[in-house]
Amino acid sequence: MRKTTSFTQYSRAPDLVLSPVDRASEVVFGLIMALTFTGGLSVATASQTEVRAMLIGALGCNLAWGMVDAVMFVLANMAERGRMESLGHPHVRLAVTRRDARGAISVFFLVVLSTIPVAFPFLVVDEARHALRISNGIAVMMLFLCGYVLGDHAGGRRWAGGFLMMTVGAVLVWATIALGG
Amino acid sequence: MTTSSFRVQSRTPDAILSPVDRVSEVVFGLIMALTFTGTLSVYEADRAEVRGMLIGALGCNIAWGMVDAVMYVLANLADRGRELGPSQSHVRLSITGRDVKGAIGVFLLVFLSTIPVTLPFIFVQEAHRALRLSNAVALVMLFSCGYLLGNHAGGRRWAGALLLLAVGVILVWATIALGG
Repeated sequence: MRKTTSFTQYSRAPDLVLSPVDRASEVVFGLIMALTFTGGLSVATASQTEVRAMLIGALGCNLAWGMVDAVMFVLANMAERGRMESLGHPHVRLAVTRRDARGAISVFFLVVLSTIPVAFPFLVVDEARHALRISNGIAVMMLFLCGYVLGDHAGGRRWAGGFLMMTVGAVLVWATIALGG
Repeated sequence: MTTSSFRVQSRTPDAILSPVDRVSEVVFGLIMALTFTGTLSVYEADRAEVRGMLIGALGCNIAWGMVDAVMYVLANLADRGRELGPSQSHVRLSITGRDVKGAIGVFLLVFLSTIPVTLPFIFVQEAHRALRLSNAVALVMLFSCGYLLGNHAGGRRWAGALLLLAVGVILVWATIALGG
């Protein structure tokens, strides 16, 4: 019980709507989703139209899931507050708070914006093959950074976190593409 | 595609995944499956297309069940590292049996939520009938998820059920509109 409380304090500090763990997780989810689109493109044969369709698909998917995550974030918060109220905590407001809204907006943007860095090379580099290589390089760096931030939060394990997330992320992307995205 | 955010605040000693976690995972899995069933052109779809759709839905939920499960374990590791503090950064963090049980739970919740909405397509030959049945099953599932969530939230069963039903339908519709 102490464990739960102490963690709640960390991640729900008054000044922090989303903990570093939440933020890194959302970026990784958004990133993996975007990578299933870029990675699913047949770069050797892709025309500009196909590349555009891929980019629209990736953006649409991340917009949709950013929204789903944001809404579920609010519902989960409301449910937890309802729970607290029923357990006798005073001063609980069940309705959607400004904090919920801020958290939801952050969740949405973290998922959506994580698409941009990996989609961008396809907009500026004409050859899809080259674009994909740059995009993958950026993705690997982003995974490393997410892991670095997560590891830093986890008691200063920056490099371990960076390398772990990079490896795990690459494996997950590969498996997700293998399973059909 | 969910997020540790729901999980972290709701862990209790006796339940690895709280009701909020469990319902969230089922809703994510369900929405994902519904973006597949909902985009099938039921009047023109032949058996091969239906099968393609089912494989797509199942593959997607297996993949994301796995992603959610792995991210769940990583989030737990990060939390434990946090609890130890920076002075213990040389201590090796390892995955516990609890992590594994939680991860398996997350995976199964996402994966199994696909089954009820895909089953009608296996048993009902006509795709448009199957879709109608599948959608009805989906509504019942959203309703039940909301009922459980509302119950957890201080006995607000019916409010929870109706809220999640409405929100779920809107989310599925919007997700399909945005291209799934």
